[in-house]
Amino acid sequence: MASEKKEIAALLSKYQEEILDAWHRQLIVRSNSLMEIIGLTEAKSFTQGILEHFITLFPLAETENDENKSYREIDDLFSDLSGKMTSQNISPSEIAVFIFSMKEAVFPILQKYIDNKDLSGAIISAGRLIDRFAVNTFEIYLNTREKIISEQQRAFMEISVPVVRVWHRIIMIPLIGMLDSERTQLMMEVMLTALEDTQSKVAILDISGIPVVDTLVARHLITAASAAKLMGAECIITGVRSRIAQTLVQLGVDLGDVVTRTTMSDGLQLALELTGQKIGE
Amino acid sequence: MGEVTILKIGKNLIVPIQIELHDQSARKLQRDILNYIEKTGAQGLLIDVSAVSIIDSFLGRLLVETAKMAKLMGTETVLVGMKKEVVLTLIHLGLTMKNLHTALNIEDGLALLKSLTGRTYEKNRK
Amino acid sequence: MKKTENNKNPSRAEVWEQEISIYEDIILARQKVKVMMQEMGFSVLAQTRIVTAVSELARNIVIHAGGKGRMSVCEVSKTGKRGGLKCIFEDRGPGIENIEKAMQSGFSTSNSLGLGLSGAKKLCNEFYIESFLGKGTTVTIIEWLP
Repeated sequence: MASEKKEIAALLSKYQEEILDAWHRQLIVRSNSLMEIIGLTEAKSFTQGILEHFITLFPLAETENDENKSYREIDDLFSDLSGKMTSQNISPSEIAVFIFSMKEAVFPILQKYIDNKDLSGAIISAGRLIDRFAVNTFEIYLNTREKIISEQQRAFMEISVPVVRVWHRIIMIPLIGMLDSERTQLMMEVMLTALEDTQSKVAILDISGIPVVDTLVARHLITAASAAKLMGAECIITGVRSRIAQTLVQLGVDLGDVVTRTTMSDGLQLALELTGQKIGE
Repeated sequence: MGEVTILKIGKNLIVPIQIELHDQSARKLQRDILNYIEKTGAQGLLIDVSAVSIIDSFLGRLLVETAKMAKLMGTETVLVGMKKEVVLTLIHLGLTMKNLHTALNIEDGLALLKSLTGRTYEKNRK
Repeated sequence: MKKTENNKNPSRAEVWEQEISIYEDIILARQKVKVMMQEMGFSVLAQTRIVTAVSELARNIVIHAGGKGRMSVCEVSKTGKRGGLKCIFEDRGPGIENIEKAMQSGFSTSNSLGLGLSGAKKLCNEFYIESFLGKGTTVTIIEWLP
């Protein structure tokens, strides 16, 4: 079997040009938009690379594990491909078409030059390897995507909690969007760091930018307030509109000792009183 | 293993915890503080934990208890200078030490003690 | 010809073990874990969280297992390339009759806050507990580098 596979590999190598041509034709027909985005030259460099690896990998036993150098090299090629496609917003199905259309380029060559008795075996092994390529590409594509998403998340998290030093020993944190446990954690870290650094006595959390305040959000706010309290600071929550007050009471949420105000200016006024300060007459 | 110094300044006791306490030395500290209050009749107790890097449920509970015991003896307690990492860990643990007075630093803590002990004094006079 | 370049530092995993029998051992365990986490590059917050968990679990051995136990600490790795720290607490105490109940916040057999096990679980990334009546309890915690 191994020697037959070597023969097939030699055959493919011999008709490389023909295969590539057929593949490119397939790509132009089946995924025109993809070709428009990455361009024929670029596509050619990928198809060529993939086919070369295919020819090297084909004779190897299927059980050969991924530690093999050639496998890792082709993984690099795939990650290159996926990276390029992800950054260009190319859909996963088009990437799949890109790899699978290789079948339609390789199989005709096998049909043309291999005897009938060996044909089905050859097609199965070739198909298997191409499937494997597709799976690898997909995995790498997903990893690339995940990496991008987590990077974006981190970037978003970083900008999502600004701290404003509104007055001597008073800091203010405007909360915007969803307040889930992860962001609460981050917000508390940011708040406590600012309290520690500035030795501020009051932290004003403004929730005007939080669209829905439910039991869970309320619990997060209470947690944040107890954290400030543990450190020895006071926490005032501002931006409690009538709607929020209604919902909280209807939900039976008890904010406990947490001080709340409707407007930022009321909150600031209270903060000034707590720190024994006055704004000039 | 070193000992924690208890300082008396004016009407207040100041306890800066500068070493890592194991359970028994923490219990001993509690006894020492209470004995000291008995001896001196201090009105305020300020415990500075700014050098403490770990407060677990045991030490947390011990501090809350100490404050309660001191309160029974007529002494107000303020805990000052808790590190932010310690705060977040306690919050994670679900230990919010609700009934404990806290302050950012010794200066704030002493000011708070002054207002706390002043208030009880006025109440008692009524 | 297998290449192992991918995982270049094969098992430099330092394993560190310590008996936990008296209260002073809790402090030793805490210090060791703290130093290891510092070297591995964990944030101060992660160090504080995990050392607190170590403190709770080591105390459990002293109080509930009569000081018949030990802790081992080692570095672990995952395919995702990030490293982590694993601490195992093994004791030869009486074992826990009802793990589910023991894991509940506020449950205590020793007049404490009952935050030991449940608290430790909340403080780390991964938490596993296994207990056999009359034989002892093993708690494993893992914290991954971000």
